[in-house]
Amino acid sequence: MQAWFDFLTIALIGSTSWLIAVRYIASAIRWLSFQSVMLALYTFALAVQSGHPELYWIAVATLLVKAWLIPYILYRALRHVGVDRQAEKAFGRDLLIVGVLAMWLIGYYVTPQLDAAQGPNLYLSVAIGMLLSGVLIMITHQKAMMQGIGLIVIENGLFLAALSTSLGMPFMVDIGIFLDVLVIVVLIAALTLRMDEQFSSMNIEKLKRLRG
Amino acid sequence: MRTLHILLSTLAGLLSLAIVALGWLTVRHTFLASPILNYEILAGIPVHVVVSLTPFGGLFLCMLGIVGVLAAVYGIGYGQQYESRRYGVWLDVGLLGFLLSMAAVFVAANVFTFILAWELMSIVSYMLVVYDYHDRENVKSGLIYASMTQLGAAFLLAAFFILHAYTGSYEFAVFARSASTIPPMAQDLAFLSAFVGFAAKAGVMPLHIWLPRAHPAAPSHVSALMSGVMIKTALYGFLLVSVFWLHAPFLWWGVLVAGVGAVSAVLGALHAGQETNLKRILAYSSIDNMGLLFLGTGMTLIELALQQPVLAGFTLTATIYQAFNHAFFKSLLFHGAGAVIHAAHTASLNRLGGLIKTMPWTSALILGGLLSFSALPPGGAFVSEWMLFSAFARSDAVQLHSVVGAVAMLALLAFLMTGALTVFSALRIFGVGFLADARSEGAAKAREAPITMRISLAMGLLVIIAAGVWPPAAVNFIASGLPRSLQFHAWRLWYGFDPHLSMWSIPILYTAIAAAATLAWLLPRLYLGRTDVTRVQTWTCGGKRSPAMSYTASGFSQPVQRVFHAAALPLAIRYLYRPLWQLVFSTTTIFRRVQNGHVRAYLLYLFMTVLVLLVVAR
Amino acid sequence: MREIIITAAQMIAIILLSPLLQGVIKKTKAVMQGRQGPATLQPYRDLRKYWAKSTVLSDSSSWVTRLGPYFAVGMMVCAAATLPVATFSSDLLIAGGSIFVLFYLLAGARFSLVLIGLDSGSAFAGMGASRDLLFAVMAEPSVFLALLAVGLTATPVSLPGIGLPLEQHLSLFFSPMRVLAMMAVFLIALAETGRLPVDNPDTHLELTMIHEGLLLELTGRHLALVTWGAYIRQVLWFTILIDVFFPWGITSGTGVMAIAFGFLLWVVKCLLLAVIVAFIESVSAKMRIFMVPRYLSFALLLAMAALLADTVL
Repeated sequence: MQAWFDFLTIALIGSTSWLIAVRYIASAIRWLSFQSVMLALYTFALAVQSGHPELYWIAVATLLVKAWLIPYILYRALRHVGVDRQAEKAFGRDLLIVGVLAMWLIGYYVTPQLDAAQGPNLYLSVAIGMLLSGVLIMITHQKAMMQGIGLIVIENGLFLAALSTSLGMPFMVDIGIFLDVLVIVVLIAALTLRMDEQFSSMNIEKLKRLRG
Repeated sequence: MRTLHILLSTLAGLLSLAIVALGWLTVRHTFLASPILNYEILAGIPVHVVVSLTPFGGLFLCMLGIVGVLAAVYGIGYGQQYESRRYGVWLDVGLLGFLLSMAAVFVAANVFTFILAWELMSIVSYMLVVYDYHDRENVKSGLIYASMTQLGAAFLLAAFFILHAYTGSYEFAVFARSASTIPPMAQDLAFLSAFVGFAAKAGVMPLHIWLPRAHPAAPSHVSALMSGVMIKTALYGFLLVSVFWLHAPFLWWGVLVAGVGAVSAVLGALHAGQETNLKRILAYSSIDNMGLLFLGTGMTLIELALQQPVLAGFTLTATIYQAFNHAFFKSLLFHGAGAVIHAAHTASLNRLGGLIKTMPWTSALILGGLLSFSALPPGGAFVSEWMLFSAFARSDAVQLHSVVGAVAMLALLAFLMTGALTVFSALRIFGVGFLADARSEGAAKAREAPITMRISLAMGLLVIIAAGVWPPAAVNFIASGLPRSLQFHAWRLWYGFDPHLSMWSIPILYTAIAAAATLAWLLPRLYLGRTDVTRVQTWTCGGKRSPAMSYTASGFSQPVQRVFHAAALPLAIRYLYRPLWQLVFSTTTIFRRVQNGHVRAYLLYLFMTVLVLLVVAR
Repeated sequence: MREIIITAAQMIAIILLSPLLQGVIKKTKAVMQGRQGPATLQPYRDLRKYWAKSTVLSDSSSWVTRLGPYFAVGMMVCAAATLPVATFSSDLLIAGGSIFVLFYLLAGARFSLVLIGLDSGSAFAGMGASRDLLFAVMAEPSVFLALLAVGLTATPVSLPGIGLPLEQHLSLFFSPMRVLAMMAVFLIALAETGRLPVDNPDTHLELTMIHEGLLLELTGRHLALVTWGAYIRQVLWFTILIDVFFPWGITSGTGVMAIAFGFLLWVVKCLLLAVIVAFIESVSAKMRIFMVPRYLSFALLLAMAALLADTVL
């Protein structure tokens, strides 16, 4: 059982690190989907290990919403957009990988202070690292779609943090969070389409034109 | 609409009469000194509205009431031109509000009430200044006025809070008792903040930039109230803080105030002599007079610091007397200016002229006001400037062998120079604007002002003459408003300072002038009979005369301008305000780089915050 | 009652003697220039001529021109009543001889004259008025400060108070502050009476009629009054100089013999001063108009130095 958890955690780390360095948005969406599937499996394993029945439902919901629905919405929006589908990065690939590694280190470093009572929690550090990597994705990419992907990664990190410390959040809260994220993604998709219409580009730097 | 306007104006007049009566009673009978109203705004919150009638406040209430009556009567006729507008009646409502808020300032007895009344007064006057908002200039003037007012209010709050911090209470009565026991550094700070705050409202240099813009922008009777009474509220507040509460223990306070007042007086008078807009001239002369009043206040503070209570009382009485006279003649002049501008449709002196023939009554009454403006007999200002002169001369005599003597000498110099410059301005206004021939069509077609406006001007002139015809009564009245330690009896005044200000000097002087003038007319008339008068064109070396040949206002002031050109530099704008604006703009430009519109930059800020919180905060 | 008679006599004396002084100055100047010159009593004849003529007024003028001369003369005559002539007893003087009242009455007279000048709309008058006021702005503080320098310890600050101590103690004359103040007041007196080197009273050219310009449009009895007023002003300034700096012979009581003696001395001193002024006029040229502020600020500096000399010494 422990091996399952470790394998899934490594998969999560790998997918997050790779996400920041992808070239095409389409592959970023695919990796996101992969990451969500890993997360769903993690939840499933946790459900089996701890025996909470709700976690089964949450795993199914994760699979449905995060691994299928959200990528589907993003992919559809991407197809409507014009030619340029590259994930424009603000910095070079190497620098970004170093950045992600820094995030994992920070996550590892701050965890003991956060939860000294329960003992060293590796999964919590991974979760915090994922959270910070998500923010890093948002900062370093210039396309609106990538911001959305970064947001989902953040949410995944939070989800993982909740799972690793307290067996998930209350059921209702989880459902609410799913709804939230769905709405956000829909908004991001709509924003991308509008931006493409208005500026013929998904580059959020163009939004600066709207500043007064 | 018309009935409503007349009704509201009459109401304002009656209110002013009530204020005068209240002030008079308070000064004469000091039994009303304890708070008469202590109202808790909201239960549980320790914020009270405290109102009390003090003799000192009563003095200023009288001033307010008298000017208010004049303005209300004037407003009946003046407001008619605004009746056709949709918001015509609001002018009268604003006038009422203005009167009430200024009365509230004079009766406030704790910090909250004072600041409440102060801000109300500022807001209502701002709205009245931008009343004629179709003119872009007025709106801009109102903006500058509002900013300077708020700046002053900020400093006032600072001063009050310093006093509160050391005395533990917000009541003025407590301040009066214990403010002189707080540590010297705190006293200095409170004094300086109060000085800057009140100076911004009073319009002394260098905080004067709003006055020449705001006073011409407002309707004339509002300008009269603003110039006559509102800037005296600042004098009232400043005297309260420095004389009544802190008792001026340090010498440099008085020297600072006197210096600022002297500079303001001379520069204000110089600028008044250079302007061509009639109302701006009057506004600059208000700056000049406030400088004079602050000069008097400064000398009072010096004398208090040197333990000379009787001399301090005398100087303070002279200052307040001058404040009264200034309120009276300035309101008369603003009213007159309003009548002239309304009739001739121009405010520039270079386009007026010949009004003495087309508007005889108004011109004659304005001439009376200008006589008092230049401190010539008849008129109260003659007596009050005489008293100020005696006070400064006495102060110099007493402090002859010290540095303070030099200060008194410079004060005298500023005072005398201002006097000569105001005579110059008065002659320029009347000589160029009213005499000779009309220089523009508007002035040629001017008709006499409506009867209510003329009645107000006549009442104003009567008040001016009445204020100066019997100095002992006036001095006794004012001296009753001073703190007990500074009070003096009239006999001491006459004996100690200038016996010839005594009972009969002034009436004898006026009678003598009138008698001499009458004799000069009568004797030739009796001995040589009437003379026959022929009218010819003014001599122009043989050519045809046009009105443009007479001296314009700009030409009239050209010699003075050439000689004093160094003093006309816009020093305040260049060295104080422009650097401040630049500083504000460059600082905000720096902040502009932070708030630059890049979404990623904002995300970065979030990120850094989260990192810092995680790593540092445990 | 006696006091009123004495005061009235002093005033009438000043009024009647002023043209004589003008005549003396003109005669002296003529003699110095090698001419015969007009008769010493000529100003009286001029005034008589003016009285007899009819009035011609400008059509731009108003009641200011018709009433102004009377007020100007009225104020000058009252100013004459504030000056001690033969006696320093302050009961006789209006307002006790306070210098504030004296100079402000003179300012009031100047006020009326300027208004009369501007009333006709003549450009000469406008120029004369603006220059006259420029000089007034600079001269008034100087003269007050100079008089205060010598009279600071007097309470109130009045001419009797200033002159009496000097009359009683001759040694007071030889203090630096008194000499400085005397120079300052003398310079101002030359400016205020419109004498060379500030203004030329004999010509009617544009540039030299600062005072004359105001009178250009007056005729008949108005001209007579205002001209006489100018003569009275001259005598007043001489009297100020005499009272403050050369008061010996002026009594402090009201005895008739003493007053008569003081009066005689006053006439002699005035004539002496007139000769001195005429001498100065003959040897100096008129200054350029914008050099006059320098002259007046020099007088101001002298006055301030006099006042500070009091402080330091």
